[in-house]
Amino acid sequence: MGPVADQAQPIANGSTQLADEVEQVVEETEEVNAGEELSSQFSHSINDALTRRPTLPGFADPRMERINSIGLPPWFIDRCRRAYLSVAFDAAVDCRVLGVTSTAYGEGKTSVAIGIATAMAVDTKKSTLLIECDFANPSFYKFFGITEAGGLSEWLDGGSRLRIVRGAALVPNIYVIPSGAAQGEPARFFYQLVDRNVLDGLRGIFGNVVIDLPPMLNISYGSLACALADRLLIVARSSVTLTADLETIVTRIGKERVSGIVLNGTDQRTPSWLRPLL
Amino acid sequence: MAKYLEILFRQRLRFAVLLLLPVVLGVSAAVVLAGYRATATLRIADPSAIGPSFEPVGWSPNQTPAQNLADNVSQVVKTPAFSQSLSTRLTGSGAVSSGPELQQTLKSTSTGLKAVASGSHFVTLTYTCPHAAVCLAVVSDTIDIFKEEMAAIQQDQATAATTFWSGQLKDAQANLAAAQVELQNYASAHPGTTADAGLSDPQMALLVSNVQLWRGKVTEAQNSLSQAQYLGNASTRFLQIGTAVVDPPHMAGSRFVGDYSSLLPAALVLLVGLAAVAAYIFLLGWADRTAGDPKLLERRLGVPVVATIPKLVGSGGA
Repeated sequence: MGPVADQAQPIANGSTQLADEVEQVVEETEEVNAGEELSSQFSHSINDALTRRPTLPGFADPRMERINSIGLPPWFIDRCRRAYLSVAFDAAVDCRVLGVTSTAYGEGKTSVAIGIATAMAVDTKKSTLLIECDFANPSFYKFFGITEAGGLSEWLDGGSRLRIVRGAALVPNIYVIPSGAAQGEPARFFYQLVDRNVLDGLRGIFGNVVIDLPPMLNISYGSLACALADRLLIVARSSVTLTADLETIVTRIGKERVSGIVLNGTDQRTPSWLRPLL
Repeated sequence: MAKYLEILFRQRLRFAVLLLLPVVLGVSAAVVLAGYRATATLRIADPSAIGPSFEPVGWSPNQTPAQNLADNVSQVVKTPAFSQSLSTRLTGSGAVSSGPELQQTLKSTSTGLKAVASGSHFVTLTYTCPHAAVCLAVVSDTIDIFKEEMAAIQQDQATAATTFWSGQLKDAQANLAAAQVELQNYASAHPGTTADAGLSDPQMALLVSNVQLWRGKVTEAQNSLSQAQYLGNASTRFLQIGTAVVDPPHMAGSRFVGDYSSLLPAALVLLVGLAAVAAYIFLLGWADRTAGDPKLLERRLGVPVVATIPKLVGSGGA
């Protein structure tokens, strides 16, 4: 048993299992080759972040940030639940990695990603990781009320510690990795994440991983970004997103990789009694 | 269809105004373009009531009294005297206030004022114009003017006939007197010759024949003159007492839209307006290339829409 497992305390339902998984990942990371060094470091950092440190009585864990609340209404999370339940994941895979993207900013991509992660965490009771991979335009800090600086991009640039934020009291098994401060060249982070299979290290630690990807329409590294996830959902804002843009990114990503469209911000005005007649 | 209905309900306030506009325009057209129709019915008595062989001057024996009267009215309203009288009356009563309106009214009487036989003894007089008061005044004045004009016409015709037959009688009487003088002179020159000796004296027979001829002509002229005087007086009297207004001049149709003739253009305005609104909806739908209808999206992209999420109030989206 490593130090991480020694100090692991039940943090939620299934926390013991998490600790075992973390230890297993640590053991596995010792065997990784040089090309997978970053992946190993990522797993270590995750394990390090998840490990609870002894604290003085009456004081909160100084190393584990917490989100005050998710900030999304229950009905919104329920609609997001409908979205992730429609995605056909491979039953043989323990960890489900779902990417959420859109054509452009302002379509509700991040809200839907948070909603899906929350629903998955609540439903499956498994540890669920929500990663922000929108390095150019981070927004998790706005949603969760945390500081912008310090996140995945800083860690990929050689920062000593991976910042991981734990979910609110109502959903304690959700973990959030913000992307950090806005970066000018986001493609290089994706290259590192994909080329070194960094996210593979998470598969043994978390049951669900939701990746908030950047909008796909105007970026050249879309294929790199999409390679991070097993399945993809595209968020479109009703009456705002152009169908032609959706068509473009579906073609670019590949229809077989897109599990579905989440139509966000619908505001149907046609009376409900009239809709079935149409 | 769903897309267009959604557009309609989404912008329902705008479309309510747009739908109201053609309705308002249609109603306005119905009121502004309304044509008013005044009507009156005249009854004409049967000429046989005056006498079995009586036939008013100018009447056709092959037509009914109503048809004859309608013809008379139609002829009278085309005369300059009628226009003059109508102009004087309309101006005097104040029904027409401006010169151009008066001119337009007088001009339209030749086509807008109609007399139609609506039975063997009934004639319906109608006049259509843009103003109800003017219509009513024109029909009312037309009846009065018609009676006056017909009396004058009948009087003129009777005078002409009387003058003619008076001249004929005078000529016949002069010729008779001349023939009698000639016969007396011949009898004086040939004593013993009598009127009965016509066969033995051809000259005597010719003179006697002349006297008889002119005597007959005088009698004929006297009869015709009497007949003309009788017909002239009787016709004038007949048209005066035999023509009665059974249905006084009144407005037909609605107070606001008149004789309903403006409903067709109003309906056209309404239809064009509604078509324009429908075209606007179609244009908006055609120009809207955004994702909105899940079914359309699935059909176009070949990817399922796995969830629809209503608008999150206060959400800026990210």
